[in-house]
Amino acid sequence: MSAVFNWKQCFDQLSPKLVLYARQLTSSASDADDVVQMAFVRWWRRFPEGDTENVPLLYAAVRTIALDLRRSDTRRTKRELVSEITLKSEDAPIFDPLPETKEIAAIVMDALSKLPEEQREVVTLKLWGGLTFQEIATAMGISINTVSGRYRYALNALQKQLTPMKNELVQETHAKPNNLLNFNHLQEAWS
Amino acid sequence: MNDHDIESLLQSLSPAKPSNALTKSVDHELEQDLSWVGTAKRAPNLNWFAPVMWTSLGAAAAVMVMGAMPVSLVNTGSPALSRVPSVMPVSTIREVMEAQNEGIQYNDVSRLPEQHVRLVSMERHAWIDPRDGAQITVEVPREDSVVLPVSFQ
Repeated sequence: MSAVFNWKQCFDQLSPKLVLYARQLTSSASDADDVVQMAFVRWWRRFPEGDTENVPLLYAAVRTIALDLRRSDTRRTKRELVSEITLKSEDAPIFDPLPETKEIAAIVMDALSKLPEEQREVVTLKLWGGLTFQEIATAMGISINTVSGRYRYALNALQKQLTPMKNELVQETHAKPNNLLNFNHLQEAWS
Repeated sequence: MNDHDIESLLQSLSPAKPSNALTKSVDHELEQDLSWVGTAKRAPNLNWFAPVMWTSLGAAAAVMVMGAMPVSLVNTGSPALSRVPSVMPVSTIREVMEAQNEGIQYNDVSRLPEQHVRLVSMERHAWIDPRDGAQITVEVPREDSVVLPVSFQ
């Protein structure tokens, strides 16, 4: 019965990150849930001990399944457009902010959504997935130089988008001194 | 605002927790796996005695089957997957690739109108052996002709 314990603990730890990554590749929250479910179950069957060394393979499985689903969705959308049935895409939040940090989260989400998908993928896997550049390269099937280049471009783009909003972010932080986000270093950097 | 600031800002936001539906679905699926694995473990290794035992058992079974069953049933084949439950069905998906409307036709016998639709689809069946993760996927192309009753108002 230790396997039951292992997978639940493992799922609690990994699933928020997996769902966040899947949301970058799918058009709706329900699709992301389906992708994460299939990937996690498949991964657990392959590695029932939940070994953390194999976590990059889990992200790779999420990516493969999401891209398969997208191809299938594209065909389905074409069919449904022909039959004049339109799809309504969902817009679920991808972060879980505290009430006082919702505006900050919205600004960051907006900035992230403007990145090209391949850059957003790398940023998500690096910052929230905690993967190394080498692991990301393996999961995405690209070279490590490409990964580091995309990450660099993504940070530059985010810097350009977020710097004009620094006042909003700092005011938000000052207005709510008890929030868990520590942006003091940001204020120092901007001053 | 340097790279470290951007990284800190982004990392300070926590990814949303998974939905309850997702947690329940994964829970349900893996519990099924575990219950299945518990009932379908590989037979223990019986070392040197095993070949002798299986040979004698096989011979005895063959004699019994040949003597008891009619000839017509001996050669009746059934799918290997159903005979040896070493794999578990995990999904059956039917994806409709194309739907052709063949219009309204009148039944030869009843003379009533009916709508004819031809559906081209692909069925995908997947099995998995939870003991080693081996997967089997079978794709079956299907073409169905569907007849729907029509009433004019």
